[in-house]
Parts: sequence; structure tokens; C-alpha cells
Amino acid sequence: MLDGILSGLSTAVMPINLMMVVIGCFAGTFIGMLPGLGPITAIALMIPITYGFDPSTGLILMAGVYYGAIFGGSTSSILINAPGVAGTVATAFDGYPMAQKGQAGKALAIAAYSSFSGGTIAAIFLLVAAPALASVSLSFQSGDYFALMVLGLTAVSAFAGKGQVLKAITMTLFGIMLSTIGTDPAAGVARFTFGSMDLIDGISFLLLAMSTFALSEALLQILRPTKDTRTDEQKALKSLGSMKLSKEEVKIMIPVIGRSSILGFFTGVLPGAGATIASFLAYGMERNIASAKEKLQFGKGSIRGLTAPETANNAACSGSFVPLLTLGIPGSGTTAVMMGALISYGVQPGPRLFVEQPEVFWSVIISMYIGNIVLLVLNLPLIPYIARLLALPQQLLVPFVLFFSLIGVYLVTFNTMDIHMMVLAAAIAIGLRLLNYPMAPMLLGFILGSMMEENLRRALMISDGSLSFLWERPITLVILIISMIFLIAPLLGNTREWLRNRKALPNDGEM
Amino acid sequence: MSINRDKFGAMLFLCLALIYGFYVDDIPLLFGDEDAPFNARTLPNALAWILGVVSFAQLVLPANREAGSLLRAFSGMKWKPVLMLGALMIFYGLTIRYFGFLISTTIFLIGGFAVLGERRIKVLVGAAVPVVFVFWFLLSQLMGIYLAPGDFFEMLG
Repeated sequence: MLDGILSGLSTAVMPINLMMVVIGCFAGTFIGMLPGLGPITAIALMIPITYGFDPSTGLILMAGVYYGAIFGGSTSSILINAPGVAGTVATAFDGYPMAQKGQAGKALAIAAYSSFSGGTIAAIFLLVAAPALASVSLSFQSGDYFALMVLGLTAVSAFAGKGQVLKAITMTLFGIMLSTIGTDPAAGVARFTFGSMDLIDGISFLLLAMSTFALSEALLQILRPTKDTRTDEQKALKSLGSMKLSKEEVKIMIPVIGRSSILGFFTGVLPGAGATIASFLAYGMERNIASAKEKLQFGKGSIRGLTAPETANNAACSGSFVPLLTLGIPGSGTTAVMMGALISYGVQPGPRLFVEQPEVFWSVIISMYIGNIVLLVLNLPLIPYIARLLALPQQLLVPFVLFFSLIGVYLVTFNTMDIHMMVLAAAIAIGLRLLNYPMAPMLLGFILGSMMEENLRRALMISDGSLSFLWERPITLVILIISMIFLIAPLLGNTREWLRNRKALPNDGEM
Repeated sequence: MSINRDKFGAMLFLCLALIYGFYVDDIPLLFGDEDAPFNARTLPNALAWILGVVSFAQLVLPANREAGSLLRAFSGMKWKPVLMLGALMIFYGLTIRYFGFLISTTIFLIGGFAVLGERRIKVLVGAAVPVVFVFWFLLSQLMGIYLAPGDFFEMLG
């Protein structure tokens, strides 16, 4: 393990990789500050740039973008109460009231120190947990992998939010369906290609990620007439106030950081539960354990209320790398995009990665420390300057995002059909977003679909066509039972709520 | 009575499940694969059934009142510029090979800025042309990616 860490360290401190951490953090912060564009879009836009790099360099850049986007989202949450990223919604609860009291600089500093501490503590957990889990998972068989993928997909649906469970399941299935287009890898026969040579290799992951996130999010900015908040953000940045924290404030923060880091990391490890859920859980936990007097401060600029979600969301970002790096199963839309990129580089994430390419595995973990330092040392003081880029008017910004998305995909294949397919996919994605269907489960289903099919095929072949592999090994059975609980629990909750509402409200005949 | 947004979505996916399921039988099978425990049709068949059941359940289960009507979900939006940008992207796809990267990208960016309301010629050209040239330089000179000049210019010789 020490050899691996040293090899990772030497890779991570290479000038090109250090540069990528810095660029990634800056680009992520900028994109995260833009209203409507989230970390998935930020990472997707970086993928074409990373094709010319080593897998480690590419992954380091994307990890930097991920942290930066979460940090950038916190900035707009605190300054103008407009979270750029869902994971920073809870940050606004106490960050914005602090900014309104003229303590915007202090709030940004608390967010930065909390993010740094959460990310660093979680990276230490990752350092311990990932190799241990990777060693255990080396004994996993095809059936176990199939069960784990089912768990990942059901968990994403279960954590989708109130009233969204069936929609998330639908989108996951839709994603798996899309993954069946192209040549069946085992039999070598064409499926759903309708005779088109452009579909024989299937739908490109990059094309799907770019069109359903970058393109559709940029076009939705135009489609939905919302208030452009960037001018407000710039105004708020002009009167930041002091960024210094007093000893008392630091004393309040330390225990909160400890608790929220642990909670955030383990929430991030769970498939499907990412930074958003971690930040809300941490905020809720702090409010519940606070004294009656402190409780009154929550929502009015409480230091604990700001520290908890900021620590937890960054810790969850590190935690979400555990299933990706050790099992090869992404737990969130963001890590699904990273996994797609890794596969494109020819690197298969999973337990073998730890053995076969330790430099990739360890350099990513080491770069997380470096990324956190960059965010604290460089990004925090430079926030006002990064925010100047926001002055770029929307009528110029959106065509640039469209261009980068289109050209990023085109440069991989030089096939103009891809551009037309992107337009079609973006149109479908916009329609589905307006119908309130979540996109991340679709991407996760698409990534895991072919792997799930391959493992199911192998497990069935080994068990001679019998489904007994699902319950013969205790680990497979336990994972499947957890999946069933994830699936049934929210559905039962919905049914109970419906029964309660049915008693309370008469039916108006709406279909 | 207007259709609920969620119900409409469920109906769309039910149709998709039926169409997808219909085309599963078109997947060719290798000799002897018909009786194999897992063949190229197994997962698609299962997916069509599961999606059919899930979307049917959404259709028959009580409507989520918070979802609102379909009409409300699609009204009050700026469709015109988005449709124009869509057309511009298709045009970009059609021209990039014919006119080459430099010309087609410049047209695309200037068109995009104009569609979104930018009318100042200085800004239109000043924002598009330098970016296109810098990007072209990065791709072709620094990263060594060959960008063909375009069929049109090759025809001219």
C-alpha cells in the first residue's frame, strides 16, 4: 500500500497534474457559480479536453472540477441565495442571512474552511476505506456485481425525492434501454440499429452526457425566463467585508466539522445519496442536537448551520469516489460521468484498478488533498476575480456552451451525424425535464446497463441458467434484500400518503 | 379537463415500452441461442416488460396534483430562440464538413449571439472570431488535431 501511495504522490505532484488541479478548481468554481449549470455539466464539458491526457491527469482534472463546482455553488448560495448546485441549497439557509448582515466575507471563509476540512477528513477516510473495500471486492463474483448494480440503480431511484421514485425508475430503465442500442458484445448481433451504420457502435456516452446535461441545461436557460442573478452576485462581491474568523467562531466550527465530515463521507459512499442529501442530513442533525437557544439562530445566520452542510457536501464528494474506485459502480450522476470518461480512456474502474493501475487510484486520492488546498489558498481570495467572468452576458455565454458541447463530441469521431443526434437527444432531454423527469438516473442506467447485462449473462451461464445465484451466496442475497428495501420503502411511503390525502380531499376528476 | 403532466409522461413511456418490445423480436439470434439461458433478446425483453409495468402503474395510480397540467408545464416559455438555436446547431452539423471548422464555427457563434438578441456588429464579430481562431490554433497547432479545410475549399483546389 505504501508503494501505491508513493507512486500516487509522485504522479499527483507532477507539474501537469498540479496544473490540472488548479485549472479544474478554477473552471469548476466558475461553472458552479453560473446559475443552472451543475457539476455534471462542468465535468462533461471537460471530458473532450482530457482525451489527450493520461487517465490519472484526466481524472485529477475532473475531480478538481467537481470540488470547484460545489465550492462555486456555495458562493452563489451565500451571496445571492441562488444555489448553482443542488448540493449547496442548505448552505443558503444560514449563509445568505449572514451575507445580508454584512458578513458575506466571513460566510465565504467559513464555507471555504468547512469545505477544506470536510474534503480533507473524507479524503483520509477514503485512503483507509477504499483499499480495504477494494481487497474485499476482489472476491466478488458476477452475481454479486449484478446485485450491486441493481442496488446502485434502485438506490438512485429511492433517493430521488418525494413523488419522483417511479419517474427515477422509469429514467433508469430508459437509460438501460439506450445502452442496448448497438452491437450485442457477447453475440455480436445488431440490436435496435434499424440498419443504420451510425448506431452499430451504440450511442456514445459522451454524446449522451453532453446533450442531456450541457446542451439541455444551456438551452433551458433561454427557454425558462428566469431572473439573471449574475449582476446581483457581482454587486454582493463588492461589499464582502472581513474574511477573518475569531477564536470563538473556530471553536464552534471544529466539533461540527468532525461530525459532519463523518456523516457526509458515509452518505456519499451510499449509492444514490450524494452531496445534496448529505448537506441536508448534516444541517438537520446540527439543528436537532443544538440547544434551544442555538436552535433559534438557525436560518438567521448560524455558524453551525453554515458549517454543517458545507463540510458534509464536500465530504460526500470524496465518499462518492469509494464505490467508483473500488467496485467500479458510480453512486451518482457525477461519478457516472467520470466513470464513462475513465472507460473511454481504456481504464476499467473497480477492484482491479487498485491492483493493476495503482498510480491512477492513488493519484486521484492524493490530488483530492491538493484540490482542497487549492480551493482554500487560491480560490477563496480569488473569488471576486473569478466572479468577474460572470459579467459575460448570457447571449454570449449560451452559444459558447453550445459550441463547446458540440465540438467536444464532434472532435472524437469527426462524424457530423453526432451533432444531429445531439440536437435530437437535447430536445428529448428538454421535453423530459419539463415533464419533471430526472436525468441523472438515465445516465447511471446507461453506464451500468451494459455492465449489468454482462454480469447477469455470466452469472446465468455459470449457474446453468438457474436464478439460484441470486440467493446462494449470502452477500448477493443481502445486497438484493437491501435493494428491495430501497425500492419498496419510498413506494410504501407514497401509498400511505395517498391514502391519507384520499381521506382528506375529494377527487376533482383530473386525469 | 386537461391531462396531468405525470400521466402524460407515463403514457409516453408506456408507448416507448410497447414500441421497444415490438422491435425486440427483430434482434437476430445466433444458431442455438434460442434455448440459451441468456441471449441478445433477454435483457431487452425484460426491460420492455418492466418499463411497461412501471409506466402502466404510474398511469393507473392516483394523479400527483402538484405536477399540474401538461399545458402549464409547456406554456410561458421562450420557444422561438430555442428552436432557432436548434436549427442553427443542425445547420452547423451540415456545414462543418463542407465549409470547414473556421467558417462554420464563426457563422454558428455569430448566429447564436444574434438569435439571443445581440445586434452590435463589433460584439458579434469581436466575440466570435478571436475565440474561433484561438480554438483552432489550440486544436491544430498545439494538440495536433487535423482539422480539414472543408470540402468546398478542396473542390476549389
